[in-house]
Amino acid sequence: MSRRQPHPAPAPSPIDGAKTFWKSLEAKADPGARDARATAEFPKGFDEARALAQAADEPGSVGRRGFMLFAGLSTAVFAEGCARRPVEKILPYTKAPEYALPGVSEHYATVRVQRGEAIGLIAESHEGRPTKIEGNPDHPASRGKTDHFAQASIFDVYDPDRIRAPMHARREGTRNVGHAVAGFAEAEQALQEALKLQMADGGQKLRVLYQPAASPTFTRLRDAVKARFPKAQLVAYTPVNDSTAREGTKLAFGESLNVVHDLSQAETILALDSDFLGLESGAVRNARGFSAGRRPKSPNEGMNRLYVVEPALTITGSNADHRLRLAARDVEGYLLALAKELKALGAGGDALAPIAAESDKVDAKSIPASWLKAVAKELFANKGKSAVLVGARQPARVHAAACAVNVALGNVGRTVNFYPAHDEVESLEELKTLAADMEGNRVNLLVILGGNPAYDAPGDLKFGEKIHAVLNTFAYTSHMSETALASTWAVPRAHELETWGDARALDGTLAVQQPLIQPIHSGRSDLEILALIAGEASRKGHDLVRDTLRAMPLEGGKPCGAPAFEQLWTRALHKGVVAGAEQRPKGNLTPKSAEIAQAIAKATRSTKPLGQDNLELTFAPDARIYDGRFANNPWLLELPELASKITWDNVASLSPATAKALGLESGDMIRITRGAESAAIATWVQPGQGDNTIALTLGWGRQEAGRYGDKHGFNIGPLRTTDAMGFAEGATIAKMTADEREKLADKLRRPGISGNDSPGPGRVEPNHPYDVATGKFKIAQTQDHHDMEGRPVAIDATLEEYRKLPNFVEFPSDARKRRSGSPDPKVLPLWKQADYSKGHKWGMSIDLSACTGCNACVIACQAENNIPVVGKEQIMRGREMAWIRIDRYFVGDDIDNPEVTIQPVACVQCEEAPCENVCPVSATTHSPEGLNDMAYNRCIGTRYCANNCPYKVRRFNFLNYHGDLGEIPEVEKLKFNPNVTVRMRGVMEKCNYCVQRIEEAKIASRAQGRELREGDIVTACAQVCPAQAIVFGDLNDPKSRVAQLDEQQRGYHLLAELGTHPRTKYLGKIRNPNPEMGKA
Amino acid sequence: MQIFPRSLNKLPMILGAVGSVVPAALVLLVWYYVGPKHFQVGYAPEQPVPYSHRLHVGQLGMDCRYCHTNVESAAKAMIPPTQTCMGCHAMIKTDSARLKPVRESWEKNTAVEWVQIHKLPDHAFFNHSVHVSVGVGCATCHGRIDRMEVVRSDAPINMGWCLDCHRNPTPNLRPKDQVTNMEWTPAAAANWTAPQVNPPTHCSGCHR
Repeated sequence: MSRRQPHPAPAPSPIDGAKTFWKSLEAKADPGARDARATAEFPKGFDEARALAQAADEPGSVGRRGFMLFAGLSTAVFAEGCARRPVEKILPYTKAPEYALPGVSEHYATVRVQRGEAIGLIAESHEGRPTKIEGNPDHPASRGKTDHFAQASIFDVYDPDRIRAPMHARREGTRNVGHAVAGFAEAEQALQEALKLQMADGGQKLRVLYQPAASPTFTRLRDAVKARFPKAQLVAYTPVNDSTAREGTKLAFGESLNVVHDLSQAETILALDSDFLGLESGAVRNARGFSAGRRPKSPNEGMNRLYVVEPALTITGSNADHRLRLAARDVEGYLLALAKELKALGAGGDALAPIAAESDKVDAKSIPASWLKAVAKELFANKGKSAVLVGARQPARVHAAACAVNVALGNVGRTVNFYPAHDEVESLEELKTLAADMEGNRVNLLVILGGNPAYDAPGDLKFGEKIHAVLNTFAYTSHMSETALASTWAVPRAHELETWGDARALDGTLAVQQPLIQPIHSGRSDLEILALIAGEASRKGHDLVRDTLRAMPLEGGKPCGAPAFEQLWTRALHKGVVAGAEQRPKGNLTPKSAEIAQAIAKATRSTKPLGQDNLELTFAPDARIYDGRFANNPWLLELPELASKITWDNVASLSPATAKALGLESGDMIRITRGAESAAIATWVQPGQGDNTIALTLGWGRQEAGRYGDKHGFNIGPLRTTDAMGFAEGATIAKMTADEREKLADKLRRPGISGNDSPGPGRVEPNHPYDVATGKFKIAQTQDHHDMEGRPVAIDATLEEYRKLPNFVEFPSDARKRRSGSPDPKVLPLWKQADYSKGHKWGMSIDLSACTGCNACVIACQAENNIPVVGKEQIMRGREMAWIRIDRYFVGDDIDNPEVTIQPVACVQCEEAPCENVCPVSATTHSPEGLNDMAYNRCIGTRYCANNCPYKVRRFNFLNYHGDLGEIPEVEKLKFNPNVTVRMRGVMEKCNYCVQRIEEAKIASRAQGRELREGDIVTACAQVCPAQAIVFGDLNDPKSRVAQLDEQQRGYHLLAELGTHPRTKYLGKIRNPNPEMGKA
Repeated sequence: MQIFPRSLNKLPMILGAVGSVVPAALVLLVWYYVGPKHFQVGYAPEQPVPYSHRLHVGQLGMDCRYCHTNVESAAKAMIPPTQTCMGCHAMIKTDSARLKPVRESWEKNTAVEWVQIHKLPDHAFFNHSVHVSVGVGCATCHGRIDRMEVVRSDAPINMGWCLDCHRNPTPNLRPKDQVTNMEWTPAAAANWTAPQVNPPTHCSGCHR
């Protein structure tokens, strides 16, 4: 039994009306369970740890005595053999490249595309290898910020499982039975020959399957291919796209347009099944605009208000002031009913009339009246300063109706802008035709440019099988994916940081994609392959992009002559944006209300109510691995998803009520059936999930992703059929029997990282997918880890409360019956305190009101600080290493639809740090500028510091997570930041405010003989934050932003009553509920 | 009856003496011989090219920064690329046998594999530019390079040695225009007062 006796935490505040904070349903149901967790020796749900601890006493295993023997012996051997350090060589350049200073990073502007939005980037390069990505301040989609996908994409360059050479299939009949390595010349010749055969009939049997890109060069080459092979078909497909939104604008305005929001102008925002802060395109610019209206400097300032109607709890829903859980199919009904209300208020004259008239077609009885009356009233009152956003999985007619509503509210041109689109709309019909052609033997050469259709095409198309049947398939691919395995040729496709290209953002901004490194595995880019198919004379990416730009009409006249073009080109590379290629939003758009109404009237809808026998499935890209393109990216695999805090797996989210009705608990294995298709998955009971809907995410359950991604999660692809790309009803759930579970076990069982795979006598297999006692799927979840023991840490108030009591964060008083708060930090110090009034005093400000919980900082920190991933098994033991964690608290007593508070927590750099006092070797000490330093080489791993840290921000390397010496793939070593020590086993680590950046900037300013300026030093988290919630700077500089934020009344120190004097100050979250809504 | 001879009475004393002297001697021996002062100072490995700093710096009077170009702008002073050698030796001593590896490197585009002499552990982040910019002379750490036929390590380069200077930098500073002067002595600038430089003595100053 454990002898641990935790210090009793202060009892939850007994104030009447105080709201409760909780992290998980278990904690909510039984607050006393906290003590049980705190006294338990091993974290919840990990019986194996106990088993392993016992295993040490078994014969044959290394016990304490054996360990001492070996330790003594190896010390003796080490002392004997120790003479001199090994000789190391320095290899200088023979010819030094221009501008390259060894040890000094270089930065290049480039661009990255994901789902139609291009984000301008500045990539950092050390001796020719890219190590970190930042946003490009000159690019409007980025303005210096990125999302977590861009941050993590750096890992993909060095993914050890990337395909390294062309692979040629051995065929038996019409099936591949394995691949053999071939040369690039061979692969190219094979493609050339196959193309030659196509010349005769104009490419009748040639198909190119590509991922749409708003790239002028791509468009030009695509047209060139069409010219050379007039009968060939080029099909665009990505599993997640904005085609419904584009079709919606076509329906509404007669042309296909990109929707771009400027939410900084918006007072009232209504999101309809739209995760515009998370996974919809344009999230980075949306987060910036949204957060701009969420950080009141004083109680007198206003705030925007966010209404969210959605079936599953998303990042956007977590930031809502009012949130309505509604099945995805009912969102249309809500919008139509709202249009009717707006029309009654007089919005848009008669323009809304035909749409409003359709509202009786859709049942809206389940919608609370306040959600129609009060929301419509507020939208109307804020005409021109509101925005209605619709998610991509809603059908085109809903998008069109929203366009009409936005026009009626006068938002177009202010908060909602429409820009001309540059790529073609993806059409599922084309993909269906392609599948039919492949089956009907009407295709004998298929070129697949990126993507993984064998895995992510709609389940009912059985695309993988059909690829097998095609005579000649060339898959340009990053991994030996499902698609590559089905193809006759699999050829390495270069990463976006390895090749030339260009891309337009949603608002038309053109940027050049500049390579940072030669393709590591000699991969080819889409442009180069298209040029080959088109028979272009030059096939070098660089020339292709330049040729496009040279021929492009630009604002302010076409660049004439070579010198002018060279100047334009150099400036474009330097700035990352092509000057003169900007575009203006469309003005004077009039919605075709009658046609929209007609489309709504024609649509078929089910009238069967949702229930246990008619569940709704919603499909969304995964918040971590998106559509599966990051399936082998361990940084993202291990990222806890915001709502559930689950890592390394996807789950089917059910609402507590639905789960209860179906008799399911978290971790139960179920089979979801819809029509002829079915899929197995583990359940998760998620507060905030809509009743009778099941949220499913794409990209998981891969068997051919690579060493990190294989066998994680569940493939729900079969359920996503051509008639159910966004959401669909008609699903049923059956709980799996023990036999069914066991049959599935092999597909889910992974080798563990500690090598303890074989279940010894009396031992529990640590990597078995199910919990032995209960048969539940083991879910590695971080939400109860690093518990703050029930202390009030995430402090929030409504705008009204803030106005009444501007210092609401300070301490609770009976008068205002606050839910929580910190007492005044007037605790006497134990010894003489250091004087920090001179020199620099580093500090950080985190605005809980602005933070959206997007996770970009977590991955940025991981990339900057060489933080390892630990694997699912280690997460279950509570050993995650991320220096910043995003705590997500549910607030209130409504377990079905709670409020959410999000709080990023990293080391707060206490001036009176409890960790330092207990270190026996002074491995953690204080710098005169107030940083709580870690000297990794001094650390002997007692873990006293982590024990004594009230914020639970210290992380310990229980194992060699980066891999033992020689074990880590050579190519993966290239990703490390050379300015940060790679920590080994037995060493404690934690956030240090990116001290390498501080020191680098200080050295640079000294070498230049000047003082440090505001902005010289930006930590990785502050630099990436799209919401600008994190600000870093010098508290001794009164003009710095962080010093000004430090003065704000809603600022508070975490657990100030402990007298630790943290440097990180939080700004309390302000909610802005509408008093007319009542209890939402 | 006496089992043990009387002479054994001295055994505890002998054991006590040996038991205290031998470990103390061991400690002292290890202290000296396993320390950087013994192993680092004087380390002068054979280099692939017998480049003579005595000739180039001492006799020809070349400035350090002619070859070590990054020393004022980067962490690493940089071993020069072969290109720098060939800048002169494409015309001078073009058939010297001692320069054969340099010519081969230039022709075959392969690096000359110099042996590292001043090696810091990976967790210590040293930066040349900041030291040079405040007026720490090259000779202060590297010794009289201009007199070395074969470069040898002149200092122990351990943490104690670093901290000695970081705690009291003034004696090791000189006017900035004298940084690369091998022959500079404090007497040469009697009227000059060293600036306040405040070098870091906390952990993250060097360990990150």
